[in-house]
Amino acid sequence: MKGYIRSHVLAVLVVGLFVGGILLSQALGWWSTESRKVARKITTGEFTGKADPADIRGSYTFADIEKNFGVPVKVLAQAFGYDKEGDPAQIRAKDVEGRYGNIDGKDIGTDAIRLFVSLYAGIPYKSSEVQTGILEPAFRILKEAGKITPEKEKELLPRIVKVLVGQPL
Amino acid sequence: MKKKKNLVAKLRLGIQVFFLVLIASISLNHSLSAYGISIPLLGSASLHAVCPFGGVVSLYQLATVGSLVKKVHEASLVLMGIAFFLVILVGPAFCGWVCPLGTVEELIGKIGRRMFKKKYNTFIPASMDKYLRYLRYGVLVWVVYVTATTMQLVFADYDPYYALFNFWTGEVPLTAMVILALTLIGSLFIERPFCKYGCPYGALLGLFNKVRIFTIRRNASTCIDCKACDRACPMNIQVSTAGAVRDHQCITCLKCTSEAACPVSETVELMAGTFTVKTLEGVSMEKEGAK
Repeated sequence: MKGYIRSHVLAVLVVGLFVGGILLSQALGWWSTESRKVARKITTGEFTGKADPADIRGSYTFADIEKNFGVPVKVLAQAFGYDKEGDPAQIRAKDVEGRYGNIDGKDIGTDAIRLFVSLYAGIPYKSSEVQTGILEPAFRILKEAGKITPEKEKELLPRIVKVLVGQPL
Repeated sequence: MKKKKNLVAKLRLGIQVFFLVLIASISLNHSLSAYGISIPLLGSASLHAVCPFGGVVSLYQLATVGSLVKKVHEASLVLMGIAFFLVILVGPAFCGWVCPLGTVEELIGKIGRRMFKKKYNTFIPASMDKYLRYLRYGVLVWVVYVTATTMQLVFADYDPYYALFNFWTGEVPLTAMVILALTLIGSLFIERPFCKYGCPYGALLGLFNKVRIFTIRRNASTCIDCKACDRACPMNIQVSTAGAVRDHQCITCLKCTSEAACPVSETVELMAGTFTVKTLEGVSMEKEGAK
């Protein structure tokens, strides 16, 4: 019992499997090349079932964050200096990173958004980035809304980055 | 006959170039989409979304947490499934026919072959080379481990494939750029250096050479021992002494077969089962190569 595969058959097999497999997966609704923007849920402890701020990714827009964590787009826009923009709902976490980046040794980017969302929504998040900063407007919002305790406030003080209308000072 | 052999080489090159252009275009489209421009009919997926290895490194997180590693999407799982089906059937044809980084290495290798003639692809002593070939398994274990523990696509910082299709974005870390440069320069001296020594996905797919259904087989009864198959193999496998090529480095490129390098028909073939040999008594027998 034997069976050869010649090069032209292998060529058809390779292309056919990839093209056919992709088309079939599209038909079945399995083909996705973008995040569905549904944050992972916390699976243990007091916050079980809540969306995990650690799962906020650079591609998440402010609208995605509102949908997952209930933090309003308007609040996010104010906190990160986008309140004068046309459509802040479409601002992505990585846009924040692109605008601010590292200022005076403190990073304002996706992790800063995770930190802010965690404090605003009251869901724990332990940043793995030691240099993560918090913009002054964001800090002010948290303080005025009573989202942080005096201890937390003291803890955040060294992380504050001062900005003026979306631009670093 | 030579014309036919060239056709085989051109067929594989055509398919390799097709996938190379496709992936390069998708990656370029992804970059352009940030400026509101896009190439018609092409998706603007990120490179991570169309890499089957992303599916592999996500499996642990998928099983334990129920989500994919950041930047990896369902499409990677689909491609992983297709590549696994293909590798079980015919071995790592993904490496030999699809992988765009392998194609680029091969194209640069053509320059190296012209520069160094017969010396090309023989610079590393065999005694050292046989151990270096296992380096990629170390890379595979490390990549799977760090991805599982950090839930981040850590290998992207070292991945020459990612660097090759994103070097213009400014998002590629220096480490990946250096590894890409070493791979491209190395390709002038060694055929497919990253595939041989560093590729974790190639390492994984290579294991399936031990169990694949259709394998490269040599018919010892018709073999004239000219070693043309050995010289043709980009991965330096000694096909001329094997009955069935089960070497973990085979990439199913078919360069060694009777359709390409081997001058005797039906002597080196990609096949399932065994060769039939006519005995003196005229009885057909199944024969397992030289073993």
